[in-house]
Amino acid sequence: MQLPATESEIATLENPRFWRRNRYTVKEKKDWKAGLWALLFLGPNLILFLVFTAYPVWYGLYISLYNYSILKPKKWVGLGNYEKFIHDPDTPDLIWRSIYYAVGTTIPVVFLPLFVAVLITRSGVFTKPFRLIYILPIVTSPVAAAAIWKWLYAKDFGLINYGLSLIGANSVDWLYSLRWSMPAVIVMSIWLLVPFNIILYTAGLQEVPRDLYDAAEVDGASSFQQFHTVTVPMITPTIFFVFLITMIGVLVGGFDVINVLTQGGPLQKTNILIYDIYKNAFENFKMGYASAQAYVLFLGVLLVTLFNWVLQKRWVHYA
Amino acid sequence: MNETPTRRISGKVLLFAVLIVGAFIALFPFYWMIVTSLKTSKEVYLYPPTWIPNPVAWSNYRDAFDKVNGRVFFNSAFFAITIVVLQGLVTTMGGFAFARINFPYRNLFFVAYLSTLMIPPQVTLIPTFIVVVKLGWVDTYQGLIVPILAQGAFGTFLFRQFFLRLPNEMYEAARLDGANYWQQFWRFTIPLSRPVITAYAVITFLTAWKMYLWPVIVIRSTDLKVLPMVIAELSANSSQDRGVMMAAVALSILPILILYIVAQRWFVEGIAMTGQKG
Repeated sequence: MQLPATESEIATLENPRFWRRNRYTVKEKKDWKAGLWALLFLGPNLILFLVFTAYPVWYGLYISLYNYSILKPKKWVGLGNYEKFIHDPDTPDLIWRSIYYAVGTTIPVVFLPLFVAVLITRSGVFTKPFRLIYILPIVTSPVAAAAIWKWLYAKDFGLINYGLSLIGANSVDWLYSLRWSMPAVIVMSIWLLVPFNIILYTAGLQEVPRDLYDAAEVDGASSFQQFHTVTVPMITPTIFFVFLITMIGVLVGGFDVINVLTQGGPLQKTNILIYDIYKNAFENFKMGYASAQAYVLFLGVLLVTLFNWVLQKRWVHYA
Repeated sequence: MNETPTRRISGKVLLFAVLIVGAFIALFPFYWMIVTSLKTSKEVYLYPPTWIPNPVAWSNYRDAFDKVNGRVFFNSAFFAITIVVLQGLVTTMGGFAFARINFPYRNLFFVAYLSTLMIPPQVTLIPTFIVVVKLGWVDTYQGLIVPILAQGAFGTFLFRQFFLRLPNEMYEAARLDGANYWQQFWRFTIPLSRPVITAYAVITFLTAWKMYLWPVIVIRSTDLKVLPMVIAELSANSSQDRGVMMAAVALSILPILILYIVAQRWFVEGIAMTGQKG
């Protein structure tokens, strides 16, 4: 998971004092002896950063301008890979499916855990056992979880179809159905991701001052009114944080689950952009083209993040 | 008070009903994994399915251990522990430099370094693989481990934030005593940071143990495969007995489950602190 911005980080970068402080520090007398110490402490970090982050970011952009596979000499194509991606007739469907997966997963994974965290907190002495159970799925890797769910989704012996047969519904070949494969992938992803956000919300809820609820109680507010007028307004920074990391995580994740459940099938129905990038780069060896796709994804993630950053000023209240 | 006692009680009942349904959904796949892992190959394909295995096929676990054997467990453990130790060292040292050494252009470097968190992993994935090819590291432990060490920007940030909150007076006193930065780092910065280091270590271990995409790209030979790779292969092989497959999945989860029961607090704090998915 890249780009986890904690609330304190958001608060730091939001705070104009942080930037002013920067300016003053730079104006201070430069201590070059401290610089040598810093080099010692940051040396390992710096080398790793240059070789495995800075160089790849530049090199990825460079090879996106070439027909490049690791097997053959590369050939300059300029913006050809980007043009090919934009004009490919399959691209609109690919983008649409990626958005479908991202939105379909993000919305439940942001809101379900909020309700669960509130309910768990309200259950008094049962808070701890419930929390223990609810966050148990964090022990499974996405691959292990998908292996279990693949068996639950199986057409003939799967438990979900057995459950459907008990209520008289027809069985569905979940992972091979043009219509149901994506919802099946999404439901599994929700099961996998909800526990993390329960933990984040539970931590956020602990910060809400107890006496606000007492005051609401005295005013005769019902549980729902308390949730609506006390809880939600008090934890908007947590909601924003959870939303942001979930959305970015979903936009750049999902590979493990899709690779085990469907491999992008049937007929591309669960093939989303990140999976397409993997297949192009490491199965079809079109690494230049895949790099161009990765940069389009980068731009998309950046735009969505900026958009939400601007939008948050309207609804997030930092205490 | 507009809530009558009856409404309160029915509210409580509803609350518990909802929570129990949710708990059932969270737990059910685990129950089904264990039940399936103990069924004979005949019983696995019985329809309607049975809820409790009879007879109990313990032999599935023996067969599963042929697939996810000691070597695979060793690879996963070696991968995860090396990442925890080396990345822990790299990120605490980096965090210390950014928090406690007043070097020129420090904040500029820090913001530049932090901004790399914005880059999606797919962007660096392909060129990082090419770098690993050029280094001749494909299908080696160092190819598996070293590029992951570079994903330390967030850890560095986390430790910087923590070290900044340690009391300044302590560092001034140490300076007056003539302690250099290295001594300040080892003698009290690290010992005082044990909680945050533990939480970070647990989450890093979890992340590495679950990692699939990078290993599947860089590892080829059976001897170097990690658990998720083997699980994915077993799951994809439709002729593989499902009972044995589920036993293998259960075995792969077991170490983390034990860690979770022993150190639940650190899981929760680590995730709450880092927002990392583990």
